[in-house]
Amino acid sequence: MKLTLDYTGQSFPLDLAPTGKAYTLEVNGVRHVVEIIRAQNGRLDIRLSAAQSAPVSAITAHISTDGLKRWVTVNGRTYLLTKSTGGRRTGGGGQHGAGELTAPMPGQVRAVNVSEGELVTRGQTLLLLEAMKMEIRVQALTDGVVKLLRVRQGQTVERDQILIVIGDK
Amino acid sequence: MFSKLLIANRGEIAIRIMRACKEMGIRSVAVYSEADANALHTRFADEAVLIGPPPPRESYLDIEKVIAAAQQTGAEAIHPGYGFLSENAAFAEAVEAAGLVFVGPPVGAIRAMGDKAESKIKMKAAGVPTVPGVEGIETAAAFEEAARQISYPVLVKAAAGGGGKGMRIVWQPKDLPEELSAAKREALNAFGDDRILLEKFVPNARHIEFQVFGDHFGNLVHFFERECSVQRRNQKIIEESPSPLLTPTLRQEMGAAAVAAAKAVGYTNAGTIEFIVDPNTLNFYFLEMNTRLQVEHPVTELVVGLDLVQWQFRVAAGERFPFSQGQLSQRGHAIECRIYAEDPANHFLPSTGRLLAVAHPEGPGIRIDSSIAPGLEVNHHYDPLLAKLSVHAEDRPAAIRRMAAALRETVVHGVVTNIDFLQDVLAHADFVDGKVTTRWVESIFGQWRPPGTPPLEALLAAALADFSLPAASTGANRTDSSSPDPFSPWQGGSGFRN
Repeated sequence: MKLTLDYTGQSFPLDLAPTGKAYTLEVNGVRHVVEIIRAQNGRLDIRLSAAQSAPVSAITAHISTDGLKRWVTVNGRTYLLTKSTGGRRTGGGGQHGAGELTAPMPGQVRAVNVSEGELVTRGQTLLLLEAMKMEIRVQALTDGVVKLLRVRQGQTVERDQILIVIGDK
Repeated sequence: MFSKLLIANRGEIAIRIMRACKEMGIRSVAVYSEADANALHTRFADEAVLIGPPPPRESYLDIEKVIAAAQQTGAEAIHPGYGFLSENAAFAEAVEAAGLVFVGPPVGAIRAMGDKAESKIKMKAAGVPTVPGVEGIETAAAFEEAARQISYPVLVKAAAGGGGKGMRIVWQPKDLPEELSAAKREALNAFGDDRILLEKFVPNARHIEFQVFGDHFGNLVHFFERECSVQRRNQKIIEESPSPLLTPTLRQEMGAAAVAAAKAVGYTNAGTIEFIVDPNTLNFYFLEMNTRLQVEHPVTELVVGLDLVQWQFRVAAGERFPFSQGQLSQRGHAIECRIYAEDPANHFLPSTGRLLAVAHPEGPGIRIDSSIAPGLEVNHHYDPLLAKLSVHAEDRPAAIRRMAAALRETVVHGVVTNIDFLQDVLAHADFVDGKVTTRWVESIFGQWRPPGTPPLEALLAAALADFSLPAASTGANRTDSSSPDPFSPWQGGSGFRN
């Protein structure tokens, strides 16, 4: 079974095949033989067979699944991976158009200082977001005009949600 | 002693206070908002009273509702915790007017110290060194003039403030108007009071505070210091005691100043005198007094060996505090790490979500003050503090090692946390050497990012998870993968397409 895990914008294609008691997993063209020792309550103990380069190693991982998201903690560090089933890119930040301003954090829109069609200048505060008693200003990155205003005062927004679109004058 | 006590707070501190109640045979009453119906503090109390909708101003900050809940349940005393109404003199006054005991200092002391302007004047009179600044001004023009006189950078600060809220550093005159109005709004939201004062900002300062404690019989002592220089956005993330900076002489001087400061306002119960210390000159300045129990009080409890909350109850109930200054000492070294729902790689901005997994570390010298459990929602209404992890060990190097190991054992899934970041802070040579100033995190870790590539082990585990862990145990498949974002603007209901 082929699957791809995305992590901070990078994709990691994997090929997983059950082989009796163990699994063979191919990552970056390298095959690993992995045995599951124990799996319960979101905790996974696995053993990685000896390779030429490394001895047998036992790994304990904590894993949580939420839709396509995989939260994985190994060796005390937590990684948020997103499973994608094909070459299809899955949402996320970094793909928005140049003039699209997105919410840097989840929260509530406290104030909307501009309206559609209004001219704005670089650095102008367009919106105020508040979360957990902290206020964040959403400012124009360039001079331009408000093409689209996608939120209202009082509205709750998620991180990376598009708030406002600034276009050329 | 009281037989029933109401805790006017939520989260880990509400639970910590309830633990003290349970140990002392006091029945505990929780108050909760609609967002906290399933919260641990609501479930941990003997009784719980719903006091309103999620926004704090309609629930946890509503004085009448909190007092009505105490009267309705027959509680004799109210512990305010930290934040919310804890430093609100009108609240303390209303509690007493209702015939209840406020577990905290006298109203007059809250008022005197709560007003950062008035308190500075009082401190100067008591011979406690203070930071140069201007208080009691209102107009934009007056602020501009004052800032010019003090000279930039200046600190814009809520007069009613605390906890870094409503506090902003202004580096140049052109930023003053906007930072001023932002600080006013934050202050109004957080404290219901938008008065602002201006102070000289001392760069490269250390934040060192002294815990003070007094009874109603004139015994007022300090429980030594907590070093809280590891901060981001003027909020503490790691605290420890003893401070690696203090010499026995400086400790004695600052302790005496802290006691003098508290005495100047007739202080009783638990409070904290915050100082900033210039590490080059070792000059220290009174910053403010927090007239309440502090978030980081476990650090003091661990090194001094006293239960602050239980002593707060006892003193509030009229008992004497039996120890003199000479009978108190610091033993070993304690460190606390605050585990926040925030993303250090995204300017430490808050993260929200539903908790999927929580695992706390265990072992000798490890203490957890937590309010999180799988299934609970971390929402944007409240403080992002999820849990406090504290350790106690023989000396500082041992405490750092213990904390590093404990953090590695801590697991929180569902919201992005600062756990990995904290490990990197603890491992940094500056922290190990005890040389951290309040701007250190920003300058050293401002661009912190997690590793660019996940280790092979993480990929293996994630790939195997679907085969080996039943969906129920990992919370899988709750969300339809074709529309993973319930708040997507395309889901309708937000109205902007109409």
